[in-house]
Amino acid sequence: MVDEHYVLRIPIELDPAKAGPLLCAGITLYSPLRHWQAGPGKTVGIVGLGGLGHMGVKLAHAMGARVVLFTTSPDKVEDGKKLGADDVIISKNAEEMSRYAGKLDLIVNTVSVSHNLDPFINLLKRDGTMVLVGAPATPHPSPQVFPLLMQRRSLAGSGIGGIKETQEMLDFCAKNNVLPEVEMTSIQDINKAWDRVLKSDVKYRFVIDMATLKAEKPAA
Amino acid sequence: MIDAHSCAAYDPKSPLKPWDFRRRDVGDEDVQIDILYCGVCHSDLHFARSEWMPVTYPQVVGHEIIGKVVAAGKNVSKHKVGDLVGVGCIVDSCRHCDNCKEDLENYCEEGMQGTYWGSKNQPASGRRAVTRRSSWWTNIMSCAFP
Repeated sequence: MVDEHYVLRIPIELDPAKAGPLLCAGITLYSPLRHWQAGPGKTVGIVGLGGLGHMGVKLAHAMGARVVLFTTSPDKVEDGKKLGADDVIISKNAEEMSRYAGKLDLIVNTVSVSHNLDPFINLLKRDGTMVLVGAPATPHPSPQVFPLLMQRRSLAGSGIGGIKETQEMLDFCAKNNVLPEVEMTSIQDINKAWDRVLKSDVKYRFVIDMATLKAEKPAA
Repeated sequence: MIDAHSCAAYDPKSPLKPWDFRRRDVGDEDVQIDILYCGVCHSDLHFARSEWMPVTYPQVVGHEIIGKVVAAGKNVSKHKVGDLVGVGCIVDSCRHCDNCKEDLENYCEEGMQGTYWGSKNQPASGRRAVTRRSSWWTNIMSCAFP
C-alpha cells in the first residue's frame, strides 16, 4: 500500500523478475552519474564490483562514458569487461593504479567498508569529483588535503535519487536495455541468501520470487 | 484492513520467519500492490539486525519491489489496476520543502519516509502526526518480502 506519488511505472521492455534492483542499486548509481554528467568524452571510474558497482559499470557504459572499473579481486576482471568496463584495474596494484593518475573526470565509489580514499583521489583530473555511495559502518580515514586542493578536486556523497529521476532511470534502462545481473531465490532460502550477501557471494543481486511466499504458513 | 503475509525478522539475530499482519484499507491516494519480486539489498540486513539503529520487531524489510496494482484509490491517476509498478526506498516525504519541490524527495529537509522504517525508528517521524499522510507511520509499507 503506497501513495501513488511514490509508485514507479515499470516499462514493458524491462523483465519484471530483474527490474527490482534498479529501484535502489540502479538509482543510487544513476543519480550521481547524471548529476556529475557522465557521458561521451568523459572517463568514469567505478570502485567496487558488487550490487551497486555492477550497475555503475552498466549505466556509465550505456551513457557513453569510458568506464574504468577498480576492484581488489583479480577474478572479477573478466566479468567487469563483460558488463561494460573498458578497462579493469586491480586497485591494490600501485603500478596499475598509476596508469590513471590525473585521468578520471568522475569516480563513483561503491565500497561499503572503510578504506583509504587517497589512491583514488589521485586519479582525478583537475576539478574531478569522487562521489561516495557506499555506506561503511565505520568511517573512511580522512583523506589528505593537498591532493584535493592542488587540483581543485572534490569529494562528495550521493544517496539514491528522487521519484522523478527514478522514473527517468527506469525509462533510460528500458531504452538502453540495462538490467541488473540477478540470481533468483525463494523466500524459503532467504536466510541462506543473506549469509551469501555477507560473503559477497552473489553475482550481483538476489531477487526473491514472491510467489514462493504464498506457500508459507505463519509461525505459531 | 487488509491481510498481509510476510517473512519478518523477530530479533537482530534469528533467521527470518513467516509473519502475518494487517494493513490499512486502500486510501484515496493509495495504490495496493501484489508484490511479485523483491531484490535483496545489504541495507535490508543492516536494518533487520539493528546495525544502523535499534528497530522494532517483527521487522519486515525489502525495498526493491516489483508488483502488480490490484487496487487504486479514487484520487489515483498515475496507475491503474493491472499495471506493473515498482516501489524503491522512498514512500513519503514532506512535499513542501525546497528539495521536495525540486523532485529531490531523497533529500527531504524533514527526512524522507523510507520504505520500512516506521515512526518509532525515525527521529523525524513525529511531524507526520500532523501531516495529511499520518497514516503512513502506522503502516510498514511492504506487504511481502521479508
